[in-house]
Amino acid sequence: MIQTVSSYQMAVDEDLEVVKNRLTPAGVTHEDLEALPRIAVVSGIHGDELEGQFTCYEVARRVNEHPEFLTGIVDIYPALNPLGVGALSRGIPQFDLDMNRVFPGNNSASPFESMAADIVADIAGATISLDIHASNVYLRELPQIRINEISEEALMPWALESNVDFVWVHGNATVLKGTLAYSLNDLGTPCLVVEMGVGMRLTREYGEQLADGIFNLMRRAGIWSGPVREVRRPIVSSDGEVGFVNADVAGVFMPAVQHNWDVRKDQVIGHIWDALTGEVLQELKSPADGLLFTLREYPIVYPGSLIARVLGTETDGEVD
Amino acid sequence: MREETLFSIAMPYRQDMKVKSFSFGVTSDGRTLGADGDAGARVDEFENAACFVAGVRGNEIQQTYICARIVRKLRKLETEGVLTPGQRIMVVPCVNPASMNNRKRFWVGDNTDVNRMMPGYDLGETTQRIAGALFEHVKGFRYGIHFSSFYLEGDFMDHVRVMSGPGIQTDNGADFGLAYVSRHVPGSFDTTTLHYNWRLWDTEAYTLYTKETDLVDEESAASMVRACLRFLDARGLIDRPCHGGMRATVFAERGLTPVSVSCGGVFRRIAQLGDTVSAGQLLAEVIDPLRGEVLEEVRAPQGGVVFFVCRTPLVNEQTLAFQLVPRRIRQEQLLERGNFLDPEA
Repeated sequence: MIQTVSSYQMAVDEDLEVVKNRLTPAGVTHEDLEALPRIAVVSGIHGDELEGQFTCYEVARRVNEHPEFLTGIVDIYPALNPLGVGALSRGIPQFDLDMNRVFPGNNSASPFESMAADIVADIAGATISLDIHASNVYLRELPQIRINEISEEALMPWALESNVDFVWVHGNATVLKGTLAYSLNDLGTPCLVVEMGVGMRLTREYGEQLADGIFNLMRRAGIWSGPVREVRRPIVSSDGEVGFVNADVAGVFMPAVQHNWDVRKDQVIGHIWDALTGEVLQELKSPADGLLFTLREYPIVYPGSLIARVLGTETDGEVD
Repeated sequence: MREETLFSIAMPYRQDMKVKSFSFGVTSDGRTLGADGDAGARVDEFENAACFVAGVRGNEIQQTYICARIVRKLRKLETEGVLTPGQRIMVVPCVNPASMNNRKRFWVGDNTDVNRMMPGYDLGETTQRIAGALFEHVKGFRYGIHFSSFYLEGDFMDHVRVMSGPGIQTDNGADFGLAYVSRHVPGSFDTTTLHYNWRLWDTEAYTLYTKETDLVDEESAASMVRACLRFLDARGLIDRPCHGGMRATVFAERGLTPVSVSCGGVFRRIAQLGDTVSAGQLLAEVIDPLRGEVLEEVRAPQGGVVFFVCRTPLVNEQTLAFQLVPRRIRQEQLLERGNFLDPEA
């Protein structure tokens, strides 16, 4: 059932609506729904991150195909920032404002902060929720879950079952407190932040991989009684195990490796060119042996632009 | 005057972005910063007294313009010999000229906000590097004045914003002689701003907000320049007769009365910035954009002075249309300190 989570009147004959699709088991009364476990699959906070669109579609499709296996509630929110998704705008178009900095919102400050508050209120209380991002237009990411270290204990059991390639536990200092995930976790509603793929594109393989993980989570939460695919065991890493490669010059970046490759320390990751003169301005090398889980997709770079991230060869805290 | 490129950053297909500063100072024996030969003084002969920063965002044109006028004024004062010897005053009028030339608020490369990257990181991403390079040069001044802007589209009364916190007495925002000083209890989102980090590094920091952002308003700019000279005079950094300005009303930011619209439409404002309004007074109307009917009369919930007024011609339901400084300031709100070092605590 399509439900309206939040609605505010815009200037010219249109309401700005955030909608969700609520999928429930057949024959359950409204009162009984309250007692059922619930998963919230969320995407589209950043209007240029579209990878979650396929995951949302795939989750709804599979549930629609086998509604007899549904034993709990599935809420699908494909576009929390509908104006942005429709207009290829990362932020909220009217203000160029990052929606993932206004949570938990406030029910009076502005329509967008009120929308944020409505969204948090709607998702709060879910057994598990996933906020699906797609990096941005600059970087391509392997399917991964990012966890604030203060939520590690509550989230790690879920993250390990979500079929991503790895789980990155962030230091508390780097965590942004205006995010949806922080707000939900702060309220005691577990929320996993998924990053995968690249902005403005869909990667079917990643979408299917994450959908498999979501059904596994649903089964564990008592929301799905049907068969699920076996999930992969993710690598778990902390900040200290991630090496960064940044540009030191301005120019055009061309990779010499492919995303998701295992690279060696000092292996050439790519070059930054000057297309005007034909010169190579910088050769970029891997800081460590490991998995190249982030690779720059957008070629124009400035000094400081992130080129790649390499996950050192430790898994579950132990060296391979 | 000593003109200096504080740092530069390479740009693809355009000239390097140079961030310039203008420093003013005279020694007790009459030598001047930036002068040639024996008449010149070195930077290390001065105490870093006051620093003005603007244009951290590319649309803060009024803010950059004000700093440019301060540069011109200080140059004149330096020539007239009214600067206090041994005290350096530095002005950085535009931290983000690349975005300003693109007419873009945030960073041209990735749309991130330099004023959410302080104190920066020299090995980080581009805006972290810009923030880091700036902060390296502006930290350590006794007084720091940042001309900034809010994301809300509208006009503000010229005012000084101070952040409550330990260590430094910041109630002296009144020394600018502007009509209003707002007291802000820092939240977690403040910790990456220039103001917060100045305070963290023991600079007495103030943020000045002016009526305009992406347009130049001469009257407001002139008022701000006079306010800054008044502040420098109050701190003993210049010796020049300054008029006293206004007796400031100090209020807690959260004590402002918000007035929002309850429907979308064309916003027709009636009350103007600075108007004194009574409870129930008509402030604006929201007009049906297709039928021309008045959908809503926006009225003042209580008396006060119009401090913020929305400028956009179109409003959504719940858009903040006005903020009023209430007639009666609640003193207990001014006592709220928050937790500077851990705003979330």
